[in-house]
Amino acid sequence: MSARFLSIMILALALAELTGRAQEQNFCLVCHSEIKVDYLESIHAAFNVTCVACHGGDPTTLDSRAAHALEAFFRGTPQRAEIPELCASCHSDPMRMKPYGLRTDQYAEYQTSRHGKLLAQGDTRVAVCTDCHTAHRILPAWEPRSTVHFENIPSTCARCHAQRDQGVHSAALAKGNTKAPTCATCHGAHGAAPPGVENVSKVCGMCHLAERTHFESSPHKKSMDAQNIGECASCHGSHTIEPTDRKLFDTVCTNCHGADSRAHLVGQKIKTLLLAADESLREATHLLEQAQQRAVDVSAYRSRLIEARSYFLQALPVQHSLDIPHIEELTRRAKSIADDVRSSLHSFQGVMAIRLLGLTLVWVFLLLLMIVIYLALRERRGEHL
Amino acid sequence: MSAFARVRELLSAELRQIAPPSVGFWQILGGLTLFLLFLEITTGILLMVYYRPSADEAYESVFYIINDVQLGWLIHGMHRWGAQLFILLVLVHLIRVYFAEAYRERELNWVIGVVLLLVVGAFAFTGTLLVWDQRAFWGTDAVRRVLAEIPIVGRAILYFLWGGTELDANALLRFYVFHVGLLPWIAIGLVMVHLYLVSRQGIFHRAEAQEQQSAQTYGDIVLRGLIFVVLSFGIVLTLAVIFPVELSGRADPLTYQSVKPPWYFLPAYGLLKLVPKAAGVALASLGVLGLFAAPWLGRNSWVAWGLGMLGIATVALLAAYGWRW
Repeated sequence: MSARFLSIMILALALAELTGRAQEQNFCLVCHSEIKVDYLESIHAAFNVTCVACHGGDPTTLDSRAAHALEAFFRGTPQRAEIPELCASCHSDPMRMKPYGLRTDQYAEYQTSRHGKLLAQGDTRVAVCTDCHTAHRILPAWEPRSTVHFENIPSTCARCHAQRDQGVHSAALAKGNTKAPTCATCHGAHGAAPPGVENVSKVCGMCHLAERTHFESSPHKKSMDAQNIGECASCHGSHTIEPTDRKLFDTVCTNCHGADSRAHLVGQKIKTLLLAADESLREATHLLEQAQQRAVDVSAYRSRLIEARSYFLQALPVQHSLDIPHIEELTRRAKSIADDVRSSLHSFQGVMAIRLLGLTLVWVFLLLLMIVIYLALRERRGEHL
Repeated sequence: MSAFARVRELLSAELRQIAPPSVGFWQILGGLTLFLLFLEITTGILLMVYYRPSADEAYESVFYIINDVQLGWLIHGMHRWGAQLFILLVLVHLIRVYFAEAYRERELNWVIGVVLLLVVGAFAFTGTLLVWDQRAFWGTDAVRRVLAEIPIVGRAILYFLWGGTELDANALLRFYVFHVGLLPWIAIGLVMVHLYLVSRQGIFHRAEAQEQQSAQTYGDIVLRGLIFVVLSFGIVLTLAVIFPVELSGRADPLTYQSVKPPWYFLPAYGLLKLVPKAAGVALASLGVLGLFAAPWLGRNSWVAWGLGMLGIATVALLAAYGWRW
């Protein structure tokens, strides 16, 4: 009796598993099997938010007409224009979202976004929730397969926007740098909008805080705002930001300033100061690494080089202020320490000389020892010199 | 009589015994390898004081040894160069014994010698990884890739030696355990049996040499050997000072680096470049089996000489091929 009961239970459980055990009486997936896999993977399925929440209808019957009846509040596929509001019906409800610890201001933000504003004007080509999050395979943003996982955001945005970032930021992102900015970092996610000209430095300054502070104290700030010139982007670009290179002083400054102008000379002066310090630091670092690999004690120089590098790193954002004396002071300190370390490390040949001297002394001792043994050997054998 | 006085008396009695007249420089090689084993164990123990066998700390601890520990660079250099000379002398000793046909009536000692050669190879192989720099990592990983392709036993060997199919912290710890906890005991045990058999069966010398009147005692041979011990110590020291060990950066499993094996593994490397990996391993194993069976294969002097020359030529050509590619 009990064996039969157990068999029936196992069969029932297996059947429940096959038809989607997690879905209580959700027969929708029996017919709509094409979305079954996507849906069952989603966060909605995990928390038992069934098809009926978005599409209405009666999920408890296998009768197609009854399931899709208007009496069962069947809504079908929502219109694109309806989607944000539909999602917001749950996601803007603090009572519903509280158990999951989710924020509820996405819809409000969306309405302020370029997407939301155009949708309100009747343009249904703009992105709605499902374009970024997908309709059925909605995964949490921390899940690497999610379309809104930080690594996937560029490709998700690129489905509509051709202006894909191809500069240092996307390169850093491709290398797995979790702190690298994505489209959403600069433009916002639900409140996505292009930053205004006067706001560019504020957006960039969210990460490049020191650069922003120094830029705002520079003569560039006032004149650029007055002439409506995009601040950071005018020199560094927006979506194709190249790695910072001193060559920028040769190529970018002349876009606004004449090659013979005083402003251009200021740029060249900054470039020379930075280049000299950088080269000196690189050479010192190279020598330090070389000495380390050759087992020379460099601990004293290591900390000095860190100090030099910190001066140089301070000079990098300060260059945006165009404050020559300040830049000069920092680069001079960096360069003088690096040069000092360089000259000291050049003399690691001296360490080798001391080692060779020690080796020679040991060899003298070893040779004497060999002679003594040889003499003892001869004496044992009764031979005399 | 005290125990010390008794040992001294026994030792001096041994040293006063007349040795065969043919015992010269080449017979000292075996003793020299013993000294180098002692040098390796001594420097190895000193390195163990600072070495940390974990993936997070191994490279840093070696870096610390060669940069911050007083004379750490010298101890590490002597351990490395001592190992090179050790392998070289073991090989030369083996070749000399083979061509002198000194294995005759000493087959068991020959077999022990070949096992010792393999143990020395294992020492070198396990020791290389411990540095945990790029060269060590990718060099060892190349061997892992070869083993992974061997059918049936490949994975089992990997699980035993590497602790899995990937080269990671498990493998480092296992290699450390083999290098400092297992192989030294095996080597010391085998050396003791090897020496016991030498003392029991006597140093090999040809019959015609036995008839000559010998004027040297074993004490003379030990003293002569001491000169070479001092000389080889000086050579190891010089190599460690002039060519200090260079590290190739912390092991990075994400940044591949092509690595040539050290000279003693070049023949195996050349063979694996020449034939499919599984076949290469099978051929190398056959070669080692042949080495074990040398006393029985070379019963005839001419056959032994021919096989020996053929073996050396093959190994040299494979090494040259491995070095070239």
